[in-house]
Amino acid sequence: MKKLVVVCVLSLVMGLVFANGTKEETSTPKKKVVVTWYSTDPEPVKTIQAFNSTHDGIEIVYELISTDNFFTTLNTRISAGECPDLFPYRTTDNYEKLIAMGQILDLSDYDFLKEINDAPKTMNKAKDGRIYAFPLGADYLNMFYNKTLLKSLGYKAPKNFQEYMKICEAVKTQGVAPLVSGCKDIWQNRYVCVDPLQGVAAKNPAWLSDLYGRKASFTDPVMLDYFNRIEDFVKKGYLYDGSLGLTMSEAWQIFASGKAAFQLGASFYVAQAFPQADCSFELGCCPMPVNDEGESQVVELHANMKVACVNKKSNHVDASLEVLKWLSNSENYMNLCDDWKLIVPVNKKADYSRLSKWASLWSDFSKYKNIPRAIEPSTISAEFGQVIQNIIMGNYTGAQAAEALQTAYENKK
Amino acid sequence: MKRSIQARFVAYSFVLPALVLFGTMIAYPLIIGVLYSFTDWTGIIDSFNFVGIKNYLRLFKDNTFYLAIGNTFYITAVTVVFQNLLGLLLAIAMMSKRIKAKGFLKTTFFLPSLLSAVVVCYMWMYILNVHVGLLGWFLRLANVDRVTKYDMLIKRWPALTIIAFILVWQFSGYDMTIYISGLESIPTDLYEAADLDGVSKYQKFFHITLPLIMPSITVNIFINLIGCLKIFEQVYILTKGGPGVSTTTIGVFIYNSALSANQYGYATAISTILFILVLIVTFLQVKVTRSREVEL
Amino acid sequence: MKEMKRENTGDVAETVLCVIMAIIIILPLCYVVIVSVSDQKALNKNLLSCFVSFHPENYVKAWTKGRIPRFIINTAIICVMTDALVIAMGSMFAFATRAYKCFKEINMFYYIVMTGMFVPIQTIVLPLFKLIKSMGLLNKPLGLAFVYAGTNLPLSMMMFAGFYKSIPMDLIDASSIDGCTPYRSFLSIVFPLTKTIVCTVVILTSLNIWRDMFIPLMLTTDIKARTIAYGLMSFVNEFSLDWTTMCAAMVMVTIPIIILYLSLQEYFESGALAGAIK
Repeated sequence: MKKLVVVCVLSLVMGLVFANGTKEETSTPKKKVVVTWYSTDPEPVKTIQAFNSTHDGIEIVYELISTDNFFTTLNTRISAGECPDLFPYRTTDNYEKLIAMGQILDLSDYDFLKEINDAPKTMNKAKDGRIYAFPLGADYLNMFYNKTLLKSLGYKAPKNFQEYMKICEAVKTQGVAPLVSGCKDIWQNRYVCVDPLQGVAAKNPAWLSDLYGRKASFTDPVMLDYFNRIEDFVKKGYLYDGSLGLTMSEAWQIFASGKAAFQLGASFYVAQAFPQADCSFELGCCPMPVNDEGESQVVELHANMKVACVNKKSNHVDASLEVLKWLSNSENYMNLCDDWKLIVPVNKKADYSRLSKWASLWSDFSKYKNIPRAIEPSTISAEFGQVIQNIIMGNYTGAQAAEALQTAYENKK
Repeated sequence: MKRSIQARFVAYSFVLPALVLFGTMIAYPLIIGVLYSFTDWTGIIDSFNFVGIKNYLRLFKDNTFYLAIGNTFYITAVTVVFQNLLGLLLAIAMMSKRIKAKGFLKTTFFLPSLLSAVVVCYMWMYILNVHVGLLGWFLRLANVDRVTKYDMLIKRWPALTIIAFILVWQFSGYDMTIYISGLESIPTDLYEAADLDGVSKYQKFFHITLPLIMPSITVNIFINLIGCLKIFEQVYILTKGGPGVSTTTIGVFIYNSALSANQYGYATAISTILFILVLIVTFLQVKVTRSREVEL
Repeated sequence: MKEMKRENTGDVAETVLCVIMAIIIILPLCYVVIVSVSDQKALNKNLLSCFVSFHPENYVKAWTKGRIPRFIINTAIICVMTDALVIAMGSMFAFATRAYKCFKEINMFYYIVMTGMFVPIQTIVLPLFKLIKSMGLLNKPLGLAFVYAGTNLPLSMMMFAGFYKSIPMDLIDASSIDGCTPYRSFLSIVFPLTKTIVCTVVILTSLNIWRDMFIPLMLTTDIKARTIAYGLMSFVNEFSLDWTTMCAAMVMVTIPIIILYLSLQEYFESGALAGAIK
């Protein structure tokens, strides 16, 4: 009797499930070319629906993979020949190898790149000067701050590193933590104090390519200086206590609730990670204060993961190019930037309108010097975050961190 | 059965499907993996070079490796000991006459082992979260001074102990079920005879029960050891092996090297060492516990 | 008198242990169920709000957003295929180790396959991916079924072998004298005795497949081909932790496997006895 009941219940459940599941399949009877698109950003639903409904023979299938697992999963696929048709890739040494392998299509000669501004295009330029990635929008790596709090203390946005330290001290004596960061995610650790790579790229643009060429080292004074600054920052207690256990979204919640004054990150986080409903203060945004007093402010053009590389070895390169061509049409491009809350870098001007109510935050950013994104070698991206975590835990001094990182880099060749 | 060629053919036909499946799905990838451990293949680019035992030498010089081994053994030791202890105690309790609702209790205790690692880890992570979770809520209610001091997942030994506790929570019921079967197979007249002789409760346990459930102990410890030494998902979800590399276990170390840092050759070297390690440990364990088994 | 008093403390201790253990297990699970019907935003502000409002729409949201029906179908299909493979191959192999003990190499094969239990999955995932792709089974349930069958085969063999040791050889010999081929005596005489072991293996294998997230993540490229453990991950990304919907998904994901376990429970317990111990 009991078994009969169980069998009936199970078949009822399976029936429900089957009915629901097969509905998905019967809605696409025609054979379509499927363009697979991987990314670390939430699915731009409106954009994709707009494309799928206007293109009968092509269908975009989007997959979101979180940044943690992204390169792991992507590399597994590529090595087994299952590379997706459209995917972002960081301009690291692997990027060059993929190009040499013939995996990524050269896009430099296509029409649809003409309208895009130079800066985001050249951001992903390969060593041979050709463009292999189609920029899907731009954003900045900058600093958000609690404008209301700073105003009450008599400060405006920090213009240089020294001012930043002064404001941190003032904020701390008020009982508010100066900076919070989601340090549980390894790559978020470079947003503790300031991003050291951005600092070095601002002071010495050639250093990064020297690093790739093994002519520069992490223990060079210019890089060591930034590690020391991070150590100093942590020792002074300017980092929110318990940041090591925070994920990025939790860190944003703490910032929004007013428990921390500063938060570093990419500009599109303001739409995707910032819990607007819980925020009671006026949000401010300024360039990351990596410059010293007397030096000019820089702002790092960030969106190097907001690109689409085309899989050259795919069976339907034409379909992928069709997608890009459609996207480059300004209306569709605007809508994509709308979905992702990015700055639109077309027609020689940066259009912030897609960020709608946030647009005012970046309205004066064009007066700062734009530098391209500074990325670390892919073999040590985990170690980069880990040594900073060790600084936060107090296990390493700045010098030890630099040494450990350099050793790891040398070992991984 | 006859040792004829025909009999041999029949015997092979019984084992062939399994062997073929095993060969293609497990043996072949494993051998390829071990071969790759002698190269510098990154796992993504086509070409690679043979570098002999360079990966292994690098491994033995790597501090993270020893850290990972230490962490793995700590988690394994704590989990195996407490899981079996708790499982045994619960099984003994289930055999007692005084406790009612045994069916309900048995199912409840077994329930956590039906859940996936993802479910269990996220659940506990949320409960123990001091910022937005239950623990934080209690601490704030008690007006504790520095709430973040109680974040257990960011310090090495508390985090490892929590991971072990979560494993014990999840699988004690599983061990209990096997111990119940073992206890049920002991004939009650042995206990009655002991009672007649005036043997104390503890002596009964150590001289009758324990030797006769040795087979269950062997099986339980065997399965637990294999699972714990290879542990990956739980650690990765709860701490990602961090902060830094402080809570990395061998499984997480392999994952980070292989698939994140594009060092597939290095990663398979680590996996090969792990494989050998698990073989040695379980071989020793089975030998020790098998020798203490008593046939009735 | 002293004897009785010691007896009572022992019993009291047992009862206390059971109660504590039951509480430790039930409370977190209740927490998940309660959270699954709460509102995430209210929960962020105040944890007690979960008792105030009732939001069953979380379940609807989890059902659609997490693509639960699709994943349940996939997982069920893979489970059925894997169970069939594992039971067929495991019982046949175990039978051979019992009936053909005279051939030493059969025992050797047995131990070789048992070492498969020790292999860490990260080692073999990349070559396995290429292998499955070259067999044309990428993103198909059969591909994953083969992989799971390979990893669960040692356990199944161990259970069947343990049980077969208790079957007297005369039974098999008698049937061969009667003119049965070994295959027939296996199918009609030996295998029907193993009902309990079959149930145990079905539960253990299905449990492993239901819980596993790593293999589908690494070995399939199409979301539509993945299993249910992956469905839970879609609620977690770096931008938000949609905890309430995830809890609803967790509850829905766990129910089928609980039903399976409850229906096969008696067999599982006697099977664990027969197979594992002996």
